[in-house]
Amino acid sequence: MDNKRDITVLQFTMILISTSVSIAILGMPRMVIDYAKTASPTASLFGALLILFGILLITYLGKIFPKQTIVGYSELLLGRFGKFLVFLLAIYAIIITGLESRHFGEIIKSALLTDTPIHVSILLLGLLFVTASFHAPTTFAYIHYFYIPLTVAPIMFILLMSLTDVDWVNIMPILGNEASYYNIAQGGLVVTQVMQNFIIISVIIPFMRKPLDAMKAGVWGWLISALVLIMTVSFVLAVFGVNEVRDMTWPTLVLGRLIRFPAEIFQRIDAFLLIAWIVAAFTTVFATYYFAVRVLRELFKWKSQVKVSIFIYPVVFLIALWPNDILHLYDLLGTYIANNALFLTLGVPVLLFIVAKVKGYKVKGGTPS
Amino acid sequence: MFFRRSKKNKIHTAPPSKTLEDKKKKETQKNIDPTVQEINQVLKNDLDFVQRDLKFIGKHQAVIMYLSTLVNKDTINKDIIKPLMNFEPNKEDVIKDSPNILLNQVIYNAEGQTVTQIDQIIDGILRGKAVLLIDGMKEALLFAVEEVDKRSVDQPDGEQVIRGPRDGFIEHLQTNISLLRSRLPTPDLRLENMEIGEMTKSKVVVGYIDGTTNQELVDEVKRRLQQIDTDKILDTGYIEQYIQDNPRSPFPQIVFTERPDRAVGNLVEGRVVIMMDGSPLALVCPATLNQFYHTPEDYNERALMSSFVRIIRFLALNFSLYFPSLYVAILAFHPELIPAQFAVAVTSGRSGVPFPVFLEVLLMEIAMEVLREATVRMPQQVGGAISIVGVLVIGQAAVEAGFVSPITVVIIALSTIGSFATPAYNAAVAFRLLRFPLIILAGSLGLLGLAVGAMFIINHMLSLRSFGVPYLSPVAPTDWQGFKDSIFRSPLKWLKKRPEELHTHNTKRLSEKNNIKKKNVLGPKENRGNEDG
Repeated sequence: MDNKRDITVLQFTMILISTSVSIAILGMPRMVIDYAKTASPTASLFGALLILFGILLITYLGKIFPKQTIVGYSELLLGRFGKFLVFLLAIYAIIITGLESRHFGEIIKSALLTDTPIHVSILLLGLLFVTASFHAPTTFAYIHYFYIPLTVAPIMFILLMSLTDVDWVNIMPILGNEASYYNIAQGGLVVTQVMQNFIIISVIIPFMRKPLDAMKAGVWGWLISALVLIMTVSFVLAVFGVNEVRDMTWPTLVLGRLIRFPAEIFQRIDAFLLIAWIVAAFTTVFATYYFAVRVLRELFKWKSQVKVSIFIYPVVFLIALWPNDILHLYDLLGTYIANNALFLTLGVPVLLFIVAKVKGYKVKGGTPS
Repeated sequence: MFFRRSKKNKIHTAPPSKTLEDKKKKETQKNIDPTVQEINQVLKNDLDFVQRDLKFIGKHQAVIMYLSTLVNKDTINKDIIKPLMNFEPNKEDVIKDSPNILLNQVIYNAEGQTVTQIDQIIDGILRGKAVLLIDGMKEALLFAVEEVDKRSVDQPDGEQVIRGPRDGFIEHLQTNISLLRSRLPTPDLRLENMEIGEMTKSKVVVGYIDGTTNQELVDEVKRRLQQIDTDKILDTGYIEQYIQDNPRSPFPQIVFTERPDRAVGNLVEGRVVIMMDGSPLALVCPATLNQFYHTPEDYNERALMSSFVRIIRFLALNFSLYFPSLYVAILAFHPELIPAQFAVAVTSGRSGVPFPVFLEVLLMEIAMEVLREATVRMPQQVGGAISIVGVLVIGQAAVEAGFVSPITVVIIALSTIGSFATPAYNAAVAFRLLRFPLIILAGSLGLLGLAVGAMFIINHMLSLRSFGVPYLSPVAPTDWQGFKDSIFRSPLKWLKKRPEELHTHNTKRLSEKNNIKKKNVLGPKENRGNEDG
């Protein structure tokens, strides 16, 4: 009966979606289109497939070790080195949290509060995710579950409303005019950067009601989030065309600004859409931060989650202040992290999977007792 | 000089409650004099203490003692003293087995028991019992003759309904239990008794339905109650504060009700009800946010109407929380959001107002809270006057003086009235309280502040648990069965199962066969048949 109170398959799916659909969706289409031109939808698909591979590996590992988080089984499989790898993952999560906080701050500064110092919005977001990280994994799941309509629905709404402005010529040819494989791969990597937060499910699986269903839920979550991302890239491309998009910082934001509401209740609706972006930013940053907090806490056997989540935050804040400006930020996010972090987020699961197979661990049928 | 005095005070002898500890070991003896002396030592000086000396069968000395304010003297005279005096034993040695003979054959009109410890006797007297001591008999007899003044069963003022029963709980526990029992004549209803409070010794009853309510929940409630260690419990509100999960949260985590029908409904759904002697309010736990905008009336009226009213209440709750801050955020930071004509109207209405909109709304909200509190505290005859004066005169005058803009008054009125539409008083106050930080956030950071504040509140609600039940269930985590009875109230026919979050032992509410066949008995002959309605 106690099982009933744990995280359900549906909640797990929602966690995956809401971590992938983040504020990065605002700028991501531009970066993808910059690299892959009209082949962007294909490139996004390529990137998403890479992530699917990672999700399958992580959920498979979760099935082998249904009672342990990634900290537990990486130590079991690789000993000290495994612990070190997980520590690196936590560092990665902290860096991503910091940079995404900055990303959030930049968007707020340019779209909502032009005169307010960027530190204020970063700190406010920090206050939200630090306090939310005090709680147990079930609360983590509830929060993601609760906010999912607030993040996915507005995006779908924007895409639907922009259907009238779509010019499908812009999207042809689907494989790109003179796009090389390198360009497509580079575009795909940008998408992987957005979706890389899937790694956080490795600390959630042991708290599921049925950890053996994680893979099914993972595939569903991937399917929906990949669909949202690919559709966003395609629609942005179809509405604006390659050349126009390259001049915009946040094409998706512009897409939202195009919407005119038939009834004259609100003059402009994009500021309300910004609330949706705020929620989206929160859920993503919360996910990566929570991952870092849980992993570090388990790694160093600290007792108080509250203290851990408070004391890590200054590091996040410093990282958020690290980029000089928004160009530097996108350089870091779109190039350095997109190109290199995959070695970590995909490499660690591959390594663990191979070691687990070599050592002969198998999935045991039925729910764990 | 002051020092000397305080020293003197310290020499004061220990209070009777402490010396009672020693009396625990003392037992009554055949000779009643020492016992009478012990009791007199404690109670002699009290105004209402009565000691009557009698002669039993003409030669045995007997003493009856009680507190005259707590007992019914008629009962003592008629049911105890009269049969005792009229009693004429056949044999002389009846006194040897007298306690039983007296209880069963002589004073059979009064409910009695035998005790032998002096502290028990004193405790009994203090609770409104009469004690009878007879020389030569070791045991003392305690008779239940207590009578406390109580008001009649009245209409509950706090939770009025249009359609539904009119009786409410009162301060007298026995009456309240009788209200419950008469509605629930099932052998499964358990009412467990305990005593809390070192001085008040309040009688607390934990009610639940055996076989339906989760046993772990019942044990947990009892465990929390037993751990309360305090000198006084004057109302169930004390209990609520001691046993709730998160005392720092603004949101109430336990429902209180003064309606027996609501208590019974919750018992049957699988919740635990806590009642107390001296309080007309029963506690119901665990609670979710949903329960605070539900009323018992919702189940009495048709589903469509109840759902409509519930949606209105839910909207009102949200109005009361977000409306003023949204207004501040839009006007102060994002005037481009509203259509140009409207924006012009608003700004022209605000011309001449000396404050920024944020300060204007904040001041008005505070004034509104003051008015509301004044209306509650004033005697009823004056209270009505205040509300009219407050709303009409002050509002009108403030607008005319250019102190506030008319639209602000409308917004404030909407949000205040919205909070009055919430049936649960404590939840309404929580939302009104949260309005202020939201206004401040919206006034300093616009929509970002408002969004962050709202998310902060929602995150907090999502992390709240009441006895392990998530506060926002059945929304997160989703329970489709419970969803049928949340913002909407589905037809009773659809509510086949008890709420899942309560983990009841008996989940079924009604059987699948519950399908009432309706016949048109008064219609034309050819249309009569087994048509379903």
